Amino acid sequence: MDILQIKDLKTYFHTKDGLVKAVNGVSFNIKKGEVFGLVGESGSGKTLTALSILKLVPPPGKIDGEVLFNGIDILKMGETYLRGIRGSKIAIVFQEPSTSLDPVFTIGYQMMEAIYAHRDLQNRSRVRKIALEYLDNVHTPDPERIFHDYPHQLSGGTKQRVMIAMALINSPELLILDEPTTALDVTIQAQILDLLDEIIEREKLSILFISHDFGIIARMCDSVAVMHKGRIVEMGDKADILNDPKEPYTRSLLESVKALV
Amino acid sequence: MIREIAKNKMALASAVFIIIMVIFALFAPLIATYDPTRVDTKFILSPPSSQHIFGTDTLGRDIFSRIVYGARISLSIGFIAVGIAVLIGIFFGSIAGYYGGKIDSILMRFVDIMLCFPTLFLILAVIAFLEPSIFNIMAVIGITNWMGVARLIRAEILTLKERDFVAAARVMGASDMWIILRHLIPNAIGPVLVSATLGIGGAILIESALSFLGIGVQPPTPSWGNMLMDGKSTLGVAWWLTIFPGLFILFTVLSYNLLGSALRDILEPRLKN
Repeated sequence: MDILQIKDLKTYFHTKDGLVKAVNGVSFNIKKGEVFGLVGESGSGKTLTALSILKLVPPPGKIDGEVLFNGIDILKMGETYLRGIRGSKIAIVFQEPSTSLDPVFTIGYQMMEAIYAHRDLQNRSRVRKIALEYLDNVHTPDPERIFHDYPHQLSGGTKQRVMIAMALINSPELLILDEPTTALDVTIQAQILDLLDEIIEREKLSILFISHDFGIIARMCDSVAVMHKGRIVEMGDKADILNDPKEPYTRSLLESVKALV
Repeated sequence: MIREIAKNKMALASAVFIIIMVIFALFAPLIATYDPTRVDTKFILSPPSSQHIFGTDTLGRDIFSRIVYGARISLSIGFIAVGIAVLIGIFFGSIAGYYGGKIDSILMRFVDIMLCFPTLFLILAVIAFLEPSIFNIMAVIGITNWMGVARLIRAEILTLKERDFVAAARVMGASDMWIILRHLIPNAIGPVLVSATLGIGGAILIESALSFLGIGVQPPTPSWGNMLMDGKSTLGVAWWLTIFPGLFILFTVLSYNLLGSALRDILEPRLKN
């Protein structure tokens, strides 16, 4: 059963300097409960693919193609429907946690905002409890204190845990992680990946994991697609790609990784 | 921020003076020594004394009490007029900044048109047309002074809407209205706070000018401006009718200006991140 089917996705930017084909005919499917990796260098179109799934590409970008989520083409749906999906059925965690949080509100406020956005709960203390529970689930140190802290008071690793908690808070079916550990240092990176392992095990989510680091992809993913200049050059099971890369680009990416976990 | 204000001596002195004026305004009945409209023919034009610390005017009314009640008028007109200006400014500025494109162009041309009007003369004309009630004065000052705020908000929102936390909010399913009201405006409010503080000083001056000319707050309600008007004819013999309201206008507006300037210094470096 496929939770996500992307058919010939094209995201073009009609700029005054010409047509930029950022995503140029991308197709792949993600099975329910699968961790699907999207690898490629910077500028290959990975992040735009993720944004295109949720129709979050700003003008002058135009999205074309089909994005079937649980069988429904969400690209054809209106803004209200999509807003209902964003943050609840499909959630994204971005690369840079420091700037993903609003600097003038506390962590607790923003987590509660994520809950209010999609659930019709009136009881403030119940919402607060849910927020604290999720902060605990992602193993933030001292959730009670963090609840009242402002983003600038927290470290990068903690902020990324908060972003992951906010993504999970409405029980999404599909979680998109766009380079979630790229902005963190290596030891924290390992911790976050451990946390993600735990979440994948516990929640049995479907995940689209975007990274430029083949080592991380190798560790986390079941299937892999390699993107280059807006196109998918190679796709398959992790084992197939790692052991028998057919394309020269894939091979050069693999060679650039020091050690595979 | 309060700590920062305390560190800056001028800001602290200004804030203290403003707080004293606010206390005058709020607790006028308790602080004033006499009824400000009470005519006392025994004490016409008496200089400052132990009974009337600021003296009395041509009708024997106690100047100090009139100053205290006048604080109510001047401060409330200042706050509410600026409040109206800020609300209108935030409304137009945020829509123009967030949506951009044609909407932005149209709204900003509208702002340019409004800026072409010489505000004092516009206010004079409108007040002469309508009756000079306190509400009309507040409304007219507010309606003619929102343009600066609109530009400030628009500028802040133009940069803020590109920030990641806005994208993150959108990804979470927030609507445009939610993003503008709950995320963009709270982040953009810094320069508006500065502008509003300076604006209160300006509004007080405008009200004083209008009252001095006779088309602002009407007697017997005391306002610092119409007390100046009363004192004009007796300036040679009774300086206390003019000097005291004048000093209070001076120090209040000065305090708001200094406070606004200090706020700008306090908020400015933080705005750079």
